[in-house]
Amino acid sequence: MLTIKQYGVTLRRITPDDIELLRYWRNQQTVKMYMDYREYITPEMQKKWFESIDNKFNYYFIIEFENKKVGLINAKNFSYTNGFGEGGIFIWDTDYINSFAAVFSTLCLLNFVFFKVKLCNLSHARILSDNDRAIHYNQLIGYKLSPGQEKVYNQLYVLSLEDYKKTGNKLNKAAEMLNNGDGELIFEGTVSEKNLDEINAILKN
Amino acid sequence: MLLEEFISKLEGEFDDMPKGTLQPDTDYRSIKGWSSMHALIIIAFVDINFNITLNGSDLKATKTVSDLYNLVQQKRPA
Repeated sequence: MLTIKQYGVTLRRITPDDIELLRYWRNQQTVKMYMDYREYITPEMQKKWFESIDNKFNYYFIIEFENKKVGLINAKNFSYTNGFGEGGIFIWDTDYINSFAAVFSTLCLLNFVFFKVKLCNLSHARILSDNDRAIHYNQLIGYKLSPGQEKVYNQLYVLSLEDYKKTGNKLNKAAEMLNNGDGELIFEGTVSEKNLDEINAILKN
Repeated sequence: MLLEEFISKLEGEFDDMPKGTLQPDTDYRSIKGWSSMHALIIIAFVDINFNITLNGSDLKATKTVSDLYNLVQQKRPA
C-alpha cells in the first residue's frame, strides 16, 4: 500500500478491493467519453487490467478529497529512459469536477515523482485532440505537444522536469496558500516488490 | 495597475490565450477549457503581482474580470 497526501488530497494506491468501484465509474458515459477506449468493461476485463498494472511500473491512486472518493489519478508505463509513459486523471464525482481536487491531486503526484522520489525527468500524457479542457489543463502545468502529434487523435504530450519547475513553483505556492500555508507532502506505505526501488528506499527512511 | 494592464497581464498567464480574449465584463469561468487549474493560476497571478492572498471564497464571489480586478483593489493596502 502506498499513500501520498498533500493539499488536502489523499492519493491511495488501488487494491483489488477498488476495481469494481473503478469499473462502475469508468463505464459511465461522463467518463468514457474522454477515453480512447469506450466499449463496456466487464468484471473479467477489469480483473485482467488490474493484473496488468499491479506492478512497480504502474501507479494508480484513488483520489480522496473531503473524506470522499472522488476520482482516479495514475502514472503508468514507467521506464528509466522515458520516465512515466502516461499520466491520467478523471474525477467521477460531478460535485468535484470544478473543485481543486483535480489540480491538487495532479500537483501532489508530480511533486512526489519529480521532487520527492526524483524518479525521472519526463512525464507524458495522452489527450484526445477534441478534449479542450484537458488540453488547456495540461498545458497550464507545462505539458507540450510532442513533435509529429498535430494530426493524431490521441495525442502525446510531454512534461519535462525543467518545465514543471517553472510552472510548478507558482502553482504549488498558490495551492499552499489555499491550504492555509500547508504544503507538506506526506507519504506512507510498506516496502513492496510492487514499488520501484527508489520508492522503497524512501519508505524505509 | 489599471484595469487594462491587469487584463493584459492576466491574459499573459494563460499561454495560449489570444490577446483581447478577456474583456472587463468577461465571465472568466466561461473561457475555453476553464478548469480549476485556471483558478490556481489566477491566485498565483494575484499573489505575484500584488502580494495579495486570495482564497476559494474570494474567487467564488467574483464572476467577471472586472469583479476580480475590483477585489484586488479592495484588498490592496491603503
